[in-house]
Amino acid sequence: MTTIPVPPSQPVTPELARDNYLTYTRGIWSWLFTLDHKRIGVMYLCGVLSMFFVGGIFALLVRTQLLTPEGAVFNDNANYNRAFTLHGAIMVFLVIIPSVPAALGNFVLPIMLGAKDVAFPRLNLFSFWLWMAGAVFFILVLVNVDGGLDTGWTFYTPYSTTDGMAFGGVLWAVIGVFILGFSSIFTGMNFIVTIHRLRPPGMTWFRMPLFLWALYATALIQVLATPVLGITVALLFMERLFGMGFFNPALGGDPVLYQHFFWFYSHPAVYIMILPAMGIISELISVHSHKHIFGYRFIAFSSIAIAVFGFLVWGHHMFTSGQSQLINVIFSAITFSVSIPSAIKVFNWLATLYRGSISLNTPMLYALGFIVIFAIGGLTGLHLGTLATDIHLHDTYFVVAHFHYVMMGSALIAMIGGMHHWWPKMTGRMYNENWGRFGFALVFIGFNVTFFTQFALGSQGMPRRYATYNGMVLTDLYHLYHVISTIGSYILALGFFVTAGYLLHSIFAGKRAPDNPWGGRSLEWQCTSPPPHDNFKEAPTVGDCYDYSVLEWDESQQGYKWREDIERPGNPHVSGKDGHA
Amino acid sequence: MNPSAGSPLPNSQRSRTIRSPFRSQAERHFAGRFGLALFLISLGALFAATLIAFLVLRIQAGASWPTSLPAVPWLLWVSTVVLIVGSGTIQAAVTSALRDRQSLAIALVAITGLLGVLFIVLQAIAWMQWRDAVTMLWNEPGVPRVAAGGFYVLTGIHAVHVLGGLVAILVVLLMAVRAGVDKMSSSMIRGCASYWHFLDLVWIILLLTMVLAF
Repeated sequence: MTTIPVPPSQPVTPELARDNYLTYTRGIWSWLFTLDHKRIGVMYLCGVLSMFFVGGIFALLVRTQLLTPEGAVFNDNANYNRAFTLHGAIMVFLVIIPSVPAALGNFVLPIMLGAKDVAFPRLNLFSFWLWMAGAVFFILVLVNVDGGLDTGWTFYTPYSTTDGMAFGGVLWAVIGVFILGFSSIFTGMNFIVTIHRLRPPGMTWFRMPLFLWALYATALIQVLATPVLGITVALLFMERLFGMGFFNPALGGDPVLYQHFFWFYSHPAVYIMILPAMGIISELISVHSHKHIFGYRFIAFSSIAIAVFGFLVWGHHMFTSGQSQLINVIFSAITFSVSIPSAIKVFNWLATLYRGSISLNTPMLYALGFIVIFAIGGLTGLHLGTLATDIHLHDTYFVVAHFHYVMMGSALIAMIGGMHHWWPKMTGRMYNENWGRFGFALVFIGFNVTFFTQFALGSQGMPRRYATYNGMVLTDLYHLYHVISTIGSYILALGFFVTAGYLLHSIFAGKRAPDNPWGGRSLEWQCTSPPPHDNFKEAPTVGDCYDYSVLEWDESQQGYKWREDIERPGNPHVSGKDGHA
Repeated sequence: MNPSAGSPLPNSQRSRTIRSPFRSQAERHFAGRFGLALFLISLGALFAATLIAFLVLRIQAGASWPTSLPAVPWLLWVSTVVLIVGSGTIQAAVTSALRDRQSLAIALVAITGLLGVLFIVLQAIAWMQWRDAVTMLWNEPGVPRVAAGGFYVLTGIHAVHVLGGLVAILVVLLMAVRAGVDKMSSSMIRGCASYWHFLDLVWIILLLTMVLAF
């Protein structure tokens, strides 16, 4: 009896799907005028990351300036003001707000729904062009048109409206903000209609992936709050240009009115930033611990609860602006209540992790990092929501540290985690996992060294927005903390450069990505990597998108596939035992 | 799933294909109306915020509000009528489009557009009347400037939205003249009608506010 030598099984790297959305048509115009949500998402991502680079440069300038008490970079303090203003305005309006909904949301949302595209593809392209137009205005400010912008990202009156106090760039910047606002409104409208009308058969509201719940709650805020920002900056524009006197007490106006209007948008805007980030974390935690999400309904409803509460807390930005004591107490109390739905999410994520089989992939590391950072950021919010402590901490580095923990450490880190999670789907390539973990370590350590120090700095009374801090009682102490913080920011920057390096490298030389590298159940893992132009030929029916028991690891593909001992329902896209429901 | 399994379009046709994510034309139009409703809610928030800003300043002004402030120009009442008649004509256009009376529908849409232009002209004249009436107040110390300037802001923001509506009407008109009143343009006429009614409602609230506050 002869034995037939069995050839050693070779790992077969999956072919890069030849006909995918990246190769569908060619040329720059086919991108700029595309109606394909995936391409629009990728363009947003490129734009957002470019602006992130610009905003990051300004952050490093600001940190370097503070290395010495006399200021190490800028001779003119106005230039320091310009630097931190541009850092803030670019990061908020051009990076964090569009990062998850517009960039990742555009790419993922229709595929998660098994839909061909968003409800209004043309409007989607229009949103993207509005974003580009808004960015152009900020670039004008960047090159110091009319003296640039030095008001801080909040454009507080009277700085912003008085000639000689602020530079004329404020006019250009608010036009940019106005346009970006409408970009955001249209994206929100598009997502709401898409989620309502394009869910596939079988996907009830409570079978949607939680990322979609988060995007839905975000879109509600975008549609309802952003117009208020639009009118606020329009009034600011008229005030500065024609002297309309809305915010100038000498002309019968009220500067605190501006603050009310600004924060009526900008506090909900904080939830435009954090809600979709939380949605990403819900996906990441569940997929990478291969365990059904715990407390689905609680996470879903807490998204909506946060969106609703988010509208009722804006006054906590103004405890020291001269509101009545009664209003202060009310806003303080409602502010505390926001921590309830936020904590519900955190506890549900922890419960999901409990006894899961956790894969410490790079996206999962970012998700775990998010939980740590968000917990610190959220809990320090309570110090600021408390009236007595806020009087001491207001306008100190404590506030700076708090909102960086939430906006950057939470929202942006979740966005980067999500980007790693969907990177194989977007590009069809795998990045180097070891470099990914190394990059995460640098980012996580750098972030905490930079900003945890600032809690100490702020609690000792170092005011924010100061270009120099020599001659103060505690100058020596402040100097020590500032040096530590600046070193942390360099580590953080290095982490981002490492990340950019291996991601770019993966596009050209990365391994081909399998369809389902992480073992996800939501629908985007059922189309090829990268997806074809039309995503799905027909709307798929859907099962439980957090039931991972039907998947198994396939060594030959280096990815997950449907378990062979479980019958897969007839439609190739139907997944899940309950897919017929 | 192998994407090349389906018959892919030849490259030459790819950039031109318009793909709708909807299963049917009716669903697509429903989604359009839904989207428009959201947009109107969003604009409603914008107008509400404007109105609140004005009212806050009006209430805070108290006794410093000028007693010599003139009433709103009487021309505004004429433009109100013009705007409401426009709402009637566009609604009639919706009905005639549904009954497939094509040329009547097109004519009614065109009339609405002309009424919109007339409204803008009347508003512009009213602005000039107002300017003549409040020149003295603008620079008077101690007088809240919003007393003279609020008029421009409230009417101006509304007028910008009327202009936006006129652009939409022009687009619908061109589509209907070129390709006839089909399902698509008929649905868009409905959209224009909703938008016009919204402008009516906003305008009446703004006008009454000005009448009562000035």
